Amino acid sequence: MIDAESALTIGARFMQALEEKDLDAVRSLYASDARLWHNFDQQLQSVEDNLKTLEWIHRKLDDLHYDIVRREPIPGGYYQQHVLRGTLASGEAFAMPACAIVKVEDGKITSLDEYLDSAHTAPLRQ
Amino acid sequence: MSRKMSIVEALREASLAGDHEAFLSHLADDIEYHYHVGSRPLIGKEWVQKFLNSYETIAADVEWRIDRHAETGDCLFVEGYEEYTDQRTGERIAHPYMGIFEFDGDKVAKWRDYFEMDNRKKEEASA
Repeated sequence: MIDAESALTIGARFMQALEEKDLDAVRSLYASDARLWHNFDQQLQSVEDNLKTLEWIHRKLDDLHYDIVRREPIPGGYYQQHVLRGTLASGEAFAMPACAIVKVEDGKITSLDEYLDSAHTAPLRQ
Repeated sequence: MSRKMSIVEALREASLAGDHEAFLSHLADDIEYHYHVGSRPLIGKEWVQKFLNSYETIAADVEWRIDRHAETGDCLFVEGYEEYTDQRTGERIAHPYMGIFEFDGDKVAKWRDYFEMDNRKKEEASA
């Protein structure tokens, strides 16, 4: 089982890749068969489908960054509370609180369960 | 079962039994309860009591389940499922949720629940 320090390091690298909108780096952190899940549709996403979603978010937001409320190790990975922030094309600020349970094996993210209220994503769809 | 998990389990049982006094006994006096992250939090037991009174008029036939949990330091993280009938509309509401409990001793000092607010029950959601 991954140690706490390694899990938190993966978490930090994951956030850095997202903030840099570097999807190749994001892909490199995912296991090829990673299981990505969100509470609002309760569907499993493949890595490629997840990357498409991220690419869409990256197009919609400037100054994208994550305010990390807390990132703590748990057995087999880490837990993270965060607020995704950015600026919409309209110039308005965007904020979406969420939390995620991330499992890590052999230096790769094997599962990510993220909980949020999709109502907070409405400004992205306008 | 850990001390923190046993306290949250007692909270869950008190909620399902409608025992407000027992429910509130597990909360710190200055509890900060985000019953839905993104909505205004409830601060203090009195406000939580009002929320419980309101919740009872809305939610019937409540199912509240805790499926997984982990803890570190003063925090307990739970993943679970809540389902109830909205008595205002008759609709069955169902959602998975994640709850984060921050403890001060044996009392819950902060509580945040993350879930989809508008979650009318769908067949696939209950599968």
